[in-house]
Amino acid sequence: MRNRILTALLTAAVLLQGGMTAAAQEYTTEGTAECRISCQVSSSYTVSIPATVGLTYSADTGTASGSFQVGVKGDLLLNQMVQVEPTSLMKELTKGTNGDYYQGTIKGEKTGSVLSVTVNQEKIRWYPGGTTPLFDMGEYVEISASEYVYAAGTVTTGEVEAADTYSGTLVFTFGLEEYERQILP
Amino acid sequence: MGKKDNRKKWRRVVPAVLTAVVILAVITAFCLGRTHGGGETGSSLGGMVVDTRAAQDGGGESAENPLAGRSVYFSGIEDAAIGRETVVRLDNREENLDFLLRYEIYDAGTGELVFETDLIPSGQHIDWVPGETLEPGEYTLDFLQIPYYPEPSGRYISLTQGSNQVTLAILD
Repeated sequence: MRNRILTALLTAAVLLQGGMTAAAQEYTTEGTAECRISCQVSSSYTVSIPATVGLTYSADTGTASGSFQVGVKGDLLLNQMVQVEPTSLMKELTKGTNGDYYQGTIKGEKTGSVLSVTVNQEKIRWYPGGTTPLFDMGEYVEISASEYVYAAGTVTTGEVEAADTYSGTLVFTFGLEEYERQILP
Repeated sequence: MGKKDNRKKWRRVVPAVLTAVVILAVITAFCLGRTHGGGETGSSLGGMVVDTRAAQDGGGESAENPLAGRSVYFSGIEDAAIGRETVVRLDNREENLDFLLRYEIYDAGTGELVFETDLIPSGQHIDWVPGETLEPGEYTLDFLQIPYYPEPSGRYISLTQGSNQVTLAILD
């Protein structure tokens, strides 16, 4: 009887030992583990706009006009683009068609008379190369990380009725926008 | 013979000299008028200027305008989620040379002025900690960048302004 009990205890001890060994082997088995590393460098960009826009009066048309250039340089994520557009000239501009922005005004220094002004800037979006926007976002130009890429614009007043020095402050609004893209083959 | 010839000579020379003097006077007056008109254009306030006198003088923008052909450069600020102690750098780019830059930051939702700076020289920056001004949450902010040209007379001319709309999430 005593022998049977000893045998049973020894068997149990061996089984437990074996079980523990088997369990320990799960942790020491050689193999590979994968860890994904990712890093996203944010978009960065600089906007160049004219310090002033000088307008020249034409006696033929009775209006004054001038031109300007807006430039953008930067390194963008593939799903982002930079948008720059004129948004205010003494008061908020209203966006029309073909790049026209209406309702701007400039004011005469001496007479106080107000001139209506239309700003036109056809291209207002700069996007990274190698992609095509999936939606219609109008005219756009490809951005460069090393040099400014420019878009032209014009400013035209309504009819000038009195000789004076007219002035106003033009504001351009800019920012990053996300868009859906299609990788070109 | 000598006296008569001399008189004839003088009768020809004097009107010619007088005519030349008159022509010179007219040209000088015209040139002075142009210079005066150009100076007025250059000292006008605002980012956009039209001087109707330019047409009367037969010219366009004055060649003496120190701002003619110059640009202002603005750094784009990206949308971000930041901590309460994160610093946002408000800079005036080196390319702006003698232009000074001032920031006014508005909450686009309420129109409230959230933060403003003094004039920043080019190549320098001011650090702003939004978490010290705003409670945790998401904000759409307009970073209005207002450049100035300091005239030798001490006057500051406001230039074309840039406004950068940014979504900023301040985490708790």
